[in-house]
Amino acid sequence: MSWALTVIDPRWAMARERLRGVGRVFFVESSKGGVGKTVFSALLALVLAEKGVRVGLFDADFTNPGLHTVLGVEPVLEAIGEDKGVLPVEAGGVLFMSIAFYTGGRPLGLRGYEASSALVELLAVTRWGGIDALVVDTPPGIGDEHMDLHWLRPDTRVIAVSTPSRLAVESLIRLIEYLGSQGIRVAAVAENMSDKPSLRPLAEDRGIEYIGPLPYDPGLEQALGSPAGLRSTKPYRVLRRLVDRGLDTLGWWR
Amino acid sequence: MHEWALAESIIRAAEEYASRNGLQRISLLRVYLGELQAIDHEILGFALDNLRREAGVAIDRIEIVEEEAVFRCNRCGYEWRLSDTDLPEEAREAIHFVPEAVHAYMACPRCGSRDYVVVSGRGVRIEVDLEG
Ligand SMILES: Nc1ncnc2c1ncn2[C@@H]1O[C@H](COP(=O)(O)OP(=O)(O)OP(=O)(O)O)[C@@H](O)[C@H]1O
Ligand SMILES: [Mg+2]
Ligand SMILES: [Zn+2]
Repeated sequence: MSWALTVIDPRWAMARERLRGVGRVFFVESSKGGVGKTVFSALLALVLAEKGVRVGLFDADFTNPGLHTVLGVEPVLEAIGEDKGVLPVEAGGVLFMSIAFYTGGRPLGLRGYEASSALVELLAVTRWGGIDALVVDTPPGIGDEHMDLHWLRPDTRVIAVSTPSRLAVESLIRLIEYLGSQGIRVAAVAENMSDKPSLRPLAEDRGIEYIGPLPYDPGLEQALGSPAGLRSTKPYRVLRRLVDRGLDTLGWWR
Repeated sequence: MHEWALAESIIRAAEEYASRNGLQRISLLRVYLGELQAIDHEILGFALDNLRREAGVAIDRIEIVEEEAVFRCNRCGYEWRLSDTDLPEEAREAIHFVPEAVHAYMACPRCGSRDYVVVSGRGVRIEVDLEG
């Protein structure tokens, strides 16, 4: 029998293996832009770090990364350590990796397949080192990055972020339905920039845990760039209280 | 070294392929190294040689082939090579880790577009031959 040569992209196997080494993976998603995914991802990671959870934070928004600004990490290549792979950067007790280290914050326009390729490349070489949890901030929409991430780690817990705006809520429902149709359950809905639990019924009717309401804090803008500053914002304090009480989505951390 | 991470991923992929197809041995593992990613041929070869010994599949031979990096503009169709361009050291280093970062540092030499395809020589891919 004659076997044809088989061409393999070796990065997928490695990315899967590295993600297997992480206790739990949380994807922060929303189809709607600007609802607070990036801020929420950072706050969640900072809360978990404060609880003593070894936590990583990964910016999967390749064309528009923002977490380095939230955490106050300079996006320069020199920040990255190397040891049989690349090592994430520590900020506020959180281990952080982003494409911004490689672009130096320059604009980057990518076709979908390239974003996908960059994503798997970075996941294949980043050594998180036995962390308990990895929080992944994703770009708005349902695109290549989301699909790749779900296939790389099918047991990922999705946290869908939304504001109470009808525009955001419509796309939240679409996201829940889309993921559901693909066999992916949304673990939690986080209601951001809101004073009332208006999304609670929507979430709980679908058997989804409700996280919120996380209030709008005009002081958050000032706190951007400082983990300590972020830890004194209102949404941080609310989220920490919710985690203290216990969130099923997070598991035993409280 | 980043080369070690890539070597590890190559061995993992070969193992995964072998176990999926119920194979005990691979006669030839050919590794293509794209010029754009500028992987150190020697370090990678050394790392592969080390890692294959503990691999979950017997690999008889590993061959490394270098591929030239070629780009084609999606807007004007122009084709060029990496060697035609003059990327600063910082850019080369970033691209070494994430080849797609090239779009942040290089534009089409003819029309200035940043929307182009890496036709060949992007990074690492492997070919498995079972007969050799
Ligand atoms: N609870 C909050 N209080 C005050 N400002 C907030 C709050 N949450 C988010 N913001 C602000 O709202 C804006 C959008 O937030 P963010 O960038 O996190 O949204 P996003 O969903 O990640 O956006 P994108 O879809 O572009 O990725 C930012 O300026 C952020 O600082
Ligand atoms: Mg964002
Ligand atoms: Zn052009």
